[in-house]
Amino acid sequence: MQKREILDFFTKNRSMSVGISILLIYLIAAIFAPLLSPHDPYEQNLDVRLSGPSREYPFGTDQFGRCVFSRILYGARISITIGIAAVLFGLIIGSGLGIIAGYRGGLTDLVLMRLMDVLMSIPALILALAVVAALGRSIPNMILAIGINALPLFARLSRSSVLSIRTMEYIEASEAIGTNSFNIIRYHVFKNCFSPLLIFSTLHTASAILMAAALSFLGLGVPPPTAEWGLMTAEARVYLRQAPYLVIFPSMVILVLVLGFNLIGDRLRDMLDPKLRF
Amino acid sequence: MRMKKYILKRLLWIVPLIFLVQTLLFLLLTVIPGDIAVLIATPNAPPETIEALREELGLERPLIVQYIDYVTSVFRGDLGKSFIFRLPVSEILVGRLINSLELVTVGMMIAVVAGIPLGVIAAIKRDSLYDRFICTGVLFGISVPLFFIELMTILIFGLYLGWFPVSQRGGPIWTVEGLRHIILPALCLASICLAMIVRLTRSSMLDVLSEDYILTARSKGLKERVVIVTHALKNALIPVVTVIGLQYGFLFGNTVVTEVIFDWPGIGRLTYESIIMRDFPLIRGAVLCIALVFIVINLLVDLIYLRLDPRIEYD
Repeated sequence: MQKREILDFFTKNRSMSVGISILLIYLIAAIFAPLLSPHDPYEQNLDVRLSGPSREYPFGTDQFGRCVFSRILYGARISITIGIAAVLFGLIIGSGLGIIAGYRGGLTDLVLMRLMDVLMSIPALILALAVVAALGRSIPNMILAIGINALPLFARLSRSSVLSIRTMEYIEASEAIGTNSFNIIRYHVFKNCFSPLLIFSTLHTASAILMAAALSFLGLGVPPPTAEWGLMTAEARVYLRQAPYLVIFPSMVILVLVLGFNLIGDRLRDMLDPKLRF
Repeated sequence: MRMKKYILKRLLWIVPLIFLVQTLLFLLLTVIPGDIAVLIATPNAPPETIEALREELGLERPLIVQYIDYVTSVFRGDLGKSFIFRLPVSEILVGRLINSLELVTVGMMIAVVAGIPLGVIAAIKRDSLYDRFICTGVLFGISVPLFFIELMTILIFGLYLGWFPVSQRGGPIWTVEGLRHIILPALCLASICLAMIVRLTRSSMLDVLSEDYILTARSKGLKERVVIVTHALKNALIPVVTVIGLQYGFLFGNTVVTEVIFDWPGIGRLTYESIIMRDFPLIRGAVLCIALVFIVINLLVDLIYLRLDPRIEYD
């Protein structure tokens, strides 16, 4: 695709532009959180606890009088990090395993794919809960718990791409001229897997963010008092009637970020893989 | 004959799969940092109590012995005894599993009844205002956190309007109370797979509507309703059925949040509680039970798909 075409695509494609704008806003919020937040996200001010949105506290205050807006800004760092890191974990290890399984075939393929079947036989959220329960509540453990779920999906996707091109003549030709397996995978196989993996990574980041929020909501994500959106919603549950905004703001922030990734993922799919178009 | 062989092969694979899931669970729950007996015992428990607990749980035996004992006892149908409830795990699981299946089935029925017509409308009125509205709704549907929908539903229909109870199971589903209690959690659960069903029905209908035989049916002068319902929808539903099946499994694995929020006594909440209370036999039993149901659902989906679409090859 030419540079001009790519530029045209972004300018003419509204949903892609919206998705990217959302992502940029969140990234800016995450990076510049200390500059943008009007208060310290952990500072308690019991005099103003559970007060609604105001000029001083744009999204109101929580049960400890902490500024919800500041906490949401800081929360962007955690959610984006977990979402992207979990997908990268799945992408690198999962697609690596898938490529090896597909390229080597035989026993390697059988063993690796059966192991992936095991991971797929436990529902994602349950597996993540079990992993966090075993390893403890922390951001790296959450990344691992969510990333493990992505392993079989990426492995299967890359394996099927490899299988479809393994018998192609140009691979045979490369082998005939003595190119080693690593270079064949690097120059031919990986290029062919790239589009489906990119689409899937974007869409899966959306799911990873939702899952991280669900884990934190259940109290098995990051420990309090960390400013994390799912945890903030969970803590606000008790005050649902009294202060519904405490639930609404963090949840809406999750919704918009996930929406952004979904918008980008959907458009990438339309652009790179028209067969999969919904 | 080939189909029978395929089914047999798939059924036989369940046994090693369960064995591997058990191994994974054993490994996961063994790597927990610290002494399990100390974690389970009440804070400040005297060393004698902890020692007795360790003996009761069989934690003093070598790991490999514990592992073999665990695996073989599960295949004998013995899932152990819950630390907290002091009851056999299998006894606790049965009732909870039925409650979850009830919730997921009602949720799925709502999603199918609403999702297929919405998908069809979006497809036949492609690019219209309806289509755009439905597609936007789908996009929001797949992006919204489930707990947000649930808390808002509780707030509006439970707390503000007071139309429905917002916690616990009210009894069997055929009773009025049972029905009143299940409506809100089932509706919320339905919302997460509704979007997928609408999306797939729409895209599948669009594919079918561009086929030549639809053109033939129209040119024969058939009424549009007949063309849509008997010619197009019948074929368009084949992939949708698969997705419905897979979504059923997906919903089953996602009931945790719903069951916790609505205090529904299902297996999802049980898993959550067992994790919080570190009741290891119960965690293993519940996760294994969920995995087994999940595996069976996925197998059934594959078999139904084979039956519906003869072009699929057995592998």
